Amino acid sequence: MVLFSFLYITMSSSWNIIGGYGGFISIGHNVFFGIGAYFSGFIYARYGISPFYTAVFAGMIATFFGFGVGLITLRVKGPSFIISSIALLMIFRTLFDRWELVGGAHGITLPHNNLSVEWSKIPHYYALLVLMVLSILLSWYVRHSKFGLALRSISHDEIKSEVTGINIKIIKVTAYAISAYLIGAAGAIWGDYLTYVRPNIFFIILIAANMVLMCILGGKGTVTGPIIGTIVIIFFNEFILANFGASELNIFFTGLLMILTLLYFPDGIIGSLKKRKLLPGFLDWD
Amino acid sequence: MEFLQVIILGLCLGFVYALMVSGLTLIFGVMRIVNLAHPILIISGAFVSYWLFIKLGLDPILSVPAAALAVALLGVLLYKLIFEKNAAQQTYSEMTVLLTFGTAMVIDGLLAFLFHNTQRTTSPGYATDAIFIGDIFIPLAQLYSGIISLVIIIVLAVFLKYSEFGIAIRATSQNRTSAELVGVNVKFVCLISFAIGCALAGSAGALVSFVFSFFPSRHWEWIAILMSLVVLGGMGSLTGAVVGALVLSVISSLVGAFYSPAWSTMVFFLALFLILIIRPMGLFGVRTD
Amino acid sequence: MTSLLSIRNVTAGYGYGPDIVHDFSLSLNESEVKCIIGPNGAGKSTLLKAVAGILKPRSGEIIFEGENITGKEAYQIMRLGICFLPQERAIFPNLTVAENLRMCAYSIKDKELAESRIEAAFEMFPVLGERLKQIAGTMSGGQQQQLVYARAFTIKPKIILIDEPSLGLAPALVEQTFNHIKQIASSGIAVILVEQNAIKGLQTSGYGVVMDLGRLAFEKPANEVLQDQRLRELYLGKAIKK
Ligand SMILES: Nc1ncnc2c1ncn2[C@@H]1O[C@H](COP(=O)(O)OP(=O)(O)OP(=O)(O)O)[C@@H](O)[C@H]1O
Ligand SMILES: [Mg+2]
Repeated sequence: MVLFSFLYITMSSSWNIIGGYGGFISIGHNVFFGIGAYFSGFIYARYGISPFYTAVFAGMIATFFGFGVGLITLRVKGPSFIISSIALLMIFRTLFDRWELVGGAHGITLPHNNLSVEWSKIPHYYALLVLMVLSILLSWYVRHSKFGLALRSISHDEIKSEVTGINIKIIKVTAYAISAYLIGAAGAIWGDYLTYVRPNIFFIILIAANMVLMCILGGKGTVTGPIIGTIVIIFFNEFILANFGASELNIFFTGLLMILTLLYFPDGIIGSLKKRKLLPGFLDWD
Repeated sequence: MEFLQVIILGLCLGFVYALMVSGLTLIFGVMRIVNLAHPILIISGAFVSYWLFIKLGLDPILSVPAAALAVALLGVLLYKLIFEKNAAQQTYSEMTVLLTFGTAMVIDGLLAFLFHNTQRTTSPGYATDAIFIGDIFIPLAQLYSGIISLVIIIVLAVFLKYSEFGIAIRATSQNRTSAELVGVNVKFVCLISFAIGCALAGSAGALVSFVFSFFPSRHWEWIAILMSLVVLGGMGSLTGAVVGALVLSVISSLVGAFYSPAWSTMVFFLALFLILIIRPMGLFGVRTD
Repeated sequence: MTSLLSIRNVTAGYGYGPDIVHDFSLSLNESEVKCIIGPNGAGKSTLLKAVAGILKPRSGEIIFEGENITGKEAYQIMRLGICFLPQERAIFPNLTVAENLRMCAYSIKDKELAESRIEAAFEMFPVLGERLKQIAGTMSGGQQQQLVYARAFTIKPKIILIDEPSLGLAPALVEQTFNHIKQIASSGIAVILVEQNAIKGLQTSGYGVVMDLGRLAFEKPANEVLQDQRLRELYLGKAIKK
């Protein structure tokens, strides 16, 4: 569960860069998660180089893809962008389901590490901890940099931003690519943690839905929002699993929570508290 | 000959896709809501037909009205609970899309919990039959569903084109304020359009139930397929969506027949990306929002 | 005598923004024509929107034929008999001319009456009759303008609110438009006209109302307003001079 929190804080903080600050809602951001996992997993299975070394490159591959894809999909905004992000996910799902080199629908099975059982997950713990800290620092940096300012002005009004001389295309695409980096690296570590990489684990929309929900529940466009949102959702999921078991109901409740949040707390926890001036100072990093 | 056959099959399926997407287009046109819950509503309609078939032996073609009505009622409920507040705004907002996304998850989770994600189809007698015209062989299931979809689409088009209320729907989707100023109750138009859109989803579901196998989570795949059709058609244009559905369905059938069935759905997703590169406003669209 | 429409102390604005119209009062009698003039941004359009129900007034009330219509939906107000022709031409550009006219008659329950009104509109604007199947957005500006006024004759409201009818029109069309407005007025419909072209507007009207910064500056018979010194100051001689 702690690992899960680290993972999802990394992912939702990264998502927040393009989705929260930039206002481009992507419901397919886990393609980068999958790309990272497949890249490192493939190298591990074939050449025996551990994902802990290749995670850095997995992130770079994800960034590279993000850049290419961003150039195409970020030309549209609003509903078309959301649709294209879902389509992107479906393309990768279909592609990896059929791609025999990486095991098709069965995916890649990775060797276990040779640590004893109680120690075997410790490396993942530290690796994800590092990624999480990096993601929060990155989010904080973007929030307070000139780049982040430009990004937020784009989310307000693209045309006006363009008039003020911001190169909106570069800014958008860069933000998209940056947000892909840590997600890709996290994918590499997570694949090693699970010891297998499969399309139906990595390329499912529920992961993307969770990233979006965590940000919105916590408060999108804030630094601490995704962290708080992730923790709440993870406890919520545990609670549902413990009480109702079936994962179908998990989907149901995740959806329900999303609807209720959007209808009644569109600013999320952090945003709502801030509006009422109730936000404790140690949570206000904006 | 095989070529012609594939094209005819593609057209039949194309009409079914067109019906699936028509409700989506209508709702987008009037309310500017990209309804990601549309595919799961189609699957809900398929379940209605499925149970009517299993329990009462009712032919899925005959259960089209029942499925349409059931899903329309569900739609009205959803509208009242979730979308009414947002119906008032003329412009689209991201939050509304996420609301429909959440709705899709809720229905998906519920259906999967109740009925599990097993593949189902209704199998009326004709589901396995086919007719031959010369060398061309056409499965009856595809033929019937294609024809009925076509009929429903024509009825819809005539309704929108000639009836007073249909014109009001089109007027509202062009300019909400102007419509109000000539005395159109825009909120009522929104409600009815939403219900009609859902009824279309339900009726498509009944037809889909014997053409494709369905299970609750399948709607994610259909979301991407249907959305690619909406974007191709230029967001909110019914003609565009229908033509888009026919074209892509035929191409996808050709890919399926001459290359590999596994890649046929890829056609839709790739088409979406191509369109975004070449013409972000859609092949038939002029709107820029 | 109670007036047909009375606007009482209305304050209005957009969203969370400041008040645009402040504490504004005005009344209109049957078959009366009043022209509101004032500099850009004075809040004239905002006032009309508040009366038509597109914008809900923040305070004050609007009484029409003895009934309080404040806060009613725009379509309800329209059905009661107040027709609003907004600044931007409110036709449906992608519908055909015939469909546009059918939409104008949408609120008339008696379909025979609606038909006969549409017929009458064709007689008045023969150009439209020739172009029934044309998509309205592809007609020339003047023809579209005729479509807008055909609406007024189809609906036959009790009051018509017209926002800047001459905006962006060629001089010949301005002439044509004001003829339509005179026709409307002479058929007994009361009119509130908002117009930048103060001379033309005031010549068409019985009363002139001058609005500035969201407030009523003064109200007088139209010909007196034309002579008024304060108006010259307000416009710095812009429209009034010649
Ligand atoms: N939709 C809107 N949202 C927010 N503010 C608006 C809106 N429309 C107008 N305003 C503001 O209201 C003020 C008054 O505008 P209004 O259109 O009523 O003026 P007007 O008197 O009609 O001017 P004009 O002669 O230019 O038409 C302006 O400052 C304008 O910026
Ligand atoms: Mg104005």
